[in-house]
This record gives sequence, structure tokens and C-alpha cells, in this order.
Amino acid sequence: MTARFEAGLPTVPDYAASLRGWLRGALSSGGALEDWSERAPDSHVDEVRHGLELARIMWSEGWKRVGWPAEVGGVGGGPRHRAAYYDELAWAGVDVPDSDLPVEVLGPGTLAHAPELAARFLPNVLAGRELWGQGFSEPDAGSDLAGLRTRARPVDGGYVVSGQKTWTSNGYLADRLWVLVRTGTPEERHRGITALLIDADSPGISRRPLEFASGVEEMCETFFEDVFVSEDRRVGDENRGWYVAMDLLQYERSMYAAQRQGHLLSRLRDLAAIVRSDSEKDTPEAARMLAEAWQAVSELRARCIQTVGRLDAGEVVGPEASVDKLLLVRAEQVVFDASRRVLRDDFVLGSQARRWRDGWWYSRAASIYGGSVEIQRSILADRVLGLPKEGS
Amino acid sequence: MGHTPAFDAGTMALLRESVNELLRDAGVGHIGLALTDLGWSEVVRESPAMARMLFDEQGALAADAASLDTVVSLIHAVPLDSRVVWPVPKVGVDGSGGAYSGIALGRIEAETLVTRLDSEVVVVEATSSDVQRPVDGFDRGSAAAWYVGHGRVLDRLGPWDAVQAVARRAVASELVGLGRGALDLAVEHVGSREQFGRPIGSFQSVRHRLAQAYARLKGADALVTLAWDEPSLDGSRSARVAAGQAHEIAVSESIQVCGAMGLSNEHRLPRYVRRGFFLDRLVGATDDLLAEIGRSVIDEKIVRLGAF
Repeated sequence: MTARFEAGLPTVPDYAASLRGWLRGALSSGGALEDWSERAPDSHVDEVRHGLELARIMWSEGWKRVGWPAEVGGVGGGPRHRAAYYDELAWAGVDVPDSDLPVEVLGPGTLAHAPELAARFLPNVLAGRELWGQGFSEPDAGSDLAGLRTRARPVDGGYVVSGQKTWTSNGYLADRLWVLVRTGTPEERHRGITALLIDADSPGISRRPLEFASGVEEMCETFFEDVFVSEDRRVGDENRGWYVAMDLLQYERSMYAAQRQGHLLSRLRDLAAIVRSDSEKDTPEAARMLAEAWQAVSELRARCIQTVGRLDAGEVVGPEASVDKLLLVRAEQVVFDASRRVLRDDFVLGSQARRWRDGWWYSRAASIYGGSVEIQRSILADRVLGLPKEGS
Repeated sequence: MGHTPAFDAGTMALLRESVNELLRDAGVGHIGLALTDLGWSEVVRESPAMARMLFDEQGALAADAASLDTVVSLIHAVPLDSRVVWPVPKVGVDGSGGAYSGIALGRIEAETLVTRLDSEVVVVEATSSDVQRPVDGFDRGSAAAWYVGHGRVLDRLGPWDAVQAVARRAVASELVGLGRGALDLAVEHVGSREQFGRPIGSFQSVRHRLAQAYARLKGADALVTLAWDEPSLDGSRSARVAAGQAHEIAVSESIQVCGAMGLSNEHRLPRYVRRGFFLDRLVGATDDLLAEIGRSVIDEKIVRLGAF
């Protein structure tokens, strides 16, 4: 534990500057992150554990407490502080752990709609002692999420859940699953959905890892067979889960974008270093691709700065968050398309390009998960541009 | 971001309306004097980022009031109605070699003008042997003219780079305005034009083209805002590129969905194309700046733009 911020909450620029300075020392010889940074995880599971360990260290050093309220062990502050945290980590060459991604998607929504659950579990999540997974999609409910069918039958003291989720993120390793279930009739669609926080080791849950095209088993299918979930694990009111999820989505589309821009900036710098060190790769075409990638990431970054500022000021971001998501998708794909073209033979034939290949596949998913680009464009068409409804 | 506007929302709305009116009235002329009467110098001294409003509005209207010339007065103590010869390489212009040449955003009848010489901003004397010839180019109806000047240097004000950076973010603002103007015309068109028994704006491909164009305009706009709030050479350059690309996408998608009507000069849309492509050549074209940026990225001269 540390008393780093007991004197008071620093301004965002002060916080960012002190973190930047601390990271320089921590990552060098004798520093708090030296051992951590010397370990090179060689599997996905290892990477997740490595990321959880980073969260533990950064929580105990106090840096990660900034941006969260006292109710969950934080020292105050908000989205801007958190965005600065991820930004400084990435700039120092430390990738934001996978385990921190659902935190930004699920944490603020849980705080808002189930403060008791947040107080109970979020401190451990933030401190890297437990991992949450997100269970929204089903085999027959992807873009049409309101058609989900995993059923939660009310019983004495809670619900009995039966059904199947797919593409459960962090699913296989998660300790707890944040799940949308149907408590109403199928015809009620979004008005009959409830959000539950379910322990992954509950009797009746089984999981099957899904191998992504890159070979990484990051997600899983999750099967629920008569799983009892106590009532105190409901997030928000019964049949109001859709609205909790919509609230969540503005965080996913904004904070997640803010986390990823730093990651993409890091990858771009790595790519530039590769080109700099190999004159055969230093061509005008490569320069052009890197410029396009820089521009795409910069547009995303500038937009994230604006959006996070709005979130921090308590504004509802609403349908404009779809702009952030579309800019993120473009940045992801431009960066990793550039990596494929710039690395040339190495990308396809070399043995050292695993992270680029994994990144390329993941960037293909960017336009599909969290609301596909088709969904985002429809949202902008309807609610921002005021265009006639489709099929009207 | 931490930027607090110096003016409240009501005042800004009034200023925007005034600027808009001036631009509509200016026609093809120079806005400098009218802006002076409005008190524009005091406004931008109080809040430099307000200067972008002039260019936002000029873009939205696809107006041509030589507003770009006013950026020099944002950095140097020259009058708002100073005329500038922008250093653009000559294309097929006759006239004996002068000391300097480039594009003027309208015929110059002043005694002095501002231009670039040896990487510096200079004030030069206009002389009777200076040659002016209308640009007979893509932007039909524009008052732009090739200018070949022979007069002596009266004053050296500072490095051209600084003026170029402000000019780039001004052009960036205007390009975003033009792109948004084109998009607004497209939205209006597809909302009313019916085919197959329904508005063409109800077809998914039309909706999605315009939505994607909107997203790119917002991305560029964010970089433009950052460039005005935290001025830098790099930031202005990136804003300029983003705006050029977003403009190109916006006019391209707008032209497509407006069909044949959008390709006629009876429609306002072609104006938004012509103005944007002309502006692209004035202070560094998108393609050339991209090449520069690529070099900077490879040579590790990357800085993070802005901060949370």
C-alpha cells in the first residue's frame, strides 16, 4: 500500500507527468517494474497473468487508484485521469493489460447501477486479483443482441440461468462473468433483458475455448445449465438490463478507444523502428503507409481527448460515440495493414512477426465486435444525421 | 484538454452570425476591412482559437472572401486587410522573372503586400511592373490571380513557418467546413429525393456512405480543434492533412448520392468541390504533407499530439 495520493488528488497534467517520471525509474535497473518487465510471456494465458500482475503492482503503488471513487478503493478523479494512466503506460512501452479492458467497459456501469456489487468486487478487479469476462453475444444473437435467448427464470432468492453465450471475452480465465439474460418473453426483446454478475465457478457453468484465427484462445463459449444466481448479483432492475448495457456501451466506445489509441501509437513506433533499422524496408510506399497510420491514430487520439473530456464533465456521450468507434476501427486496420505491407516477406514468412500477425487478425475483429461498423453507421445515420429510416 | 473558451455561448453565437453575414455580403472580395469594423482583432487577441470561426463559416458557405490573408495579422502587427501573395510555384504564367511570385486571393490594389522570401515573412512594395493574371483553373469564378512581383523588401517580420502553420490550420478549418457543407447538401437531397416509392436516404448504402463521411469529418475536426488550442507545426500539419482527406471523402460521397443533379452548376455542390481542391494547393498539399509526415514517423520525430 502506498500513501502516494493521500495529500490530495493531482490535476490530470500533474498526475500524467509524475507517472511518466516514475515509469522511467520503475522500468530501469532496480525499479519496481524491472522484474516484471524482464519476464516475456510466451502464451496468451501467461500474458493475461502478466497483465494482472502489472495491475497488482500499479494498484499497490497507488497509480491505478486514481480515476476511481473511494467506494471502490480509489482516491477520486475520473475518466481523464484513467485515460492519462493508460496513455503514459503505452508511451513508456508498457501495453495496457487485457484484464484492464473489461474494467473500463463494465466498471463504470456497475458502479452506477449496482454500487454494492461495485464496492464488493471492483477493488479486487482493479487490483488485478480477479478477472471479469463479458457475456453478451450468443450463437443467434450477435448484431441483433436484443434477440438474445439465454433464459433467467425467477426462483426464490434469485434466478436459474440456462442457455449459451459465445465470444465471451476473457471468458476462459474469468473469475466472474457479466452477462445479459432474458427475464421477459422473446417478443419483448430489449424490454425483457436483465444484467447479472455470475461467478464463473458456479455449478452448471462449463466453458469451451474458441480459437481465434490467430491461434489465440482469448474467448470462449459459455454454457449455462440451471445455474443459480442470487438476486443480489443483479445489476440494475429486472428487465432494465438493456438500458444498463446501452449506458455501458458509451464507455466501451469511448474509454476503450482511449486505451487502444495508446496501444496503436506504440505499435506504430515499433514499426517505424523496424523500418529505420532495415534500409530495404525504407521505401516511399512504406513512408506513405506509416503516414496514413499516424494520421489515423492522431485523428482517433484527438477525438478521444475530446470525448473523454465530455465523459469526465459528466456529459452523456450518446450516439456521437459511434464516431469514436469508427475512427478506432480505421486506426486499427490502417496500422496493421501497414505492418503487413511494410514488413513484407517477414510478415508472412518470418518467425518473429507473431505479434504483428496476431494484431492484424485482431484488427479485423475491431470492425465487428462492440457493435459492427454497419451498426455504428446506422446509429449515426438515424440519430445524428437524421436520415430517413432504413426501408421506409 | 483544459481549454476554457473566453466567450460564452451566447456571444459566440452572435459573433458567428455576424461573420456569416459578412461572408455572404463580401461576395468575391476581401473581408479584411469589414472584419476590422466588426472588432475582429480584439476578439482574436482575447481568444486566438476564435479565429477558426472565420474559416469554419467561409467553408460552410463555400464563400470566397480572401480570409486566409488575415492569418498574418494573428502573428504579426500588420492590418487585418493586408494582402498576401501565397508562395505557390507558377504554372504556365508569363511575365519576366520577378523577385517573388505566387497566388493572390483576388486582385491586389494595395501599396504593400506580404509574401515569403528566403523562408521569411516579408512586407514588400507593390509596384507598377508587378504582373497579375487571373488563375484560369479548376475553381471557376474564383478571383484568385497569379502575381509576379518586382518590388523591394520594406520589412522582415519573422520565419515563414509560423505563418504557414496558422495558414494550415485555417485552411484545415475551412476544408472541414466545406466538407460539412457538402454533407449537409447531400443529407438534404437524399431526405427529399424519392425513387422506388421512398426517399433515397432510406437505402442502406446511401446512409452508410454519409455516416462514414461524417465520422471522418469529426476526426479531422478534433485535430483542427487541437491545432488551434495547442498550436504547433506538427499539429497544424496533421490537422491540414486530416481535413484535406475528410473533405475529399465528403465531397466524393455527396456527389455520388446527389446523382446527376449534384453534377450540375445549378446545384451548390460543385462549389464545395472546387473551393476545397483549390485550397489544397495553397499552403502544402495533402499528398506532399503526407510524404513529410511519413519521413518524420520513420525518423522517430513522433510527438504525442495533445493530452488527456
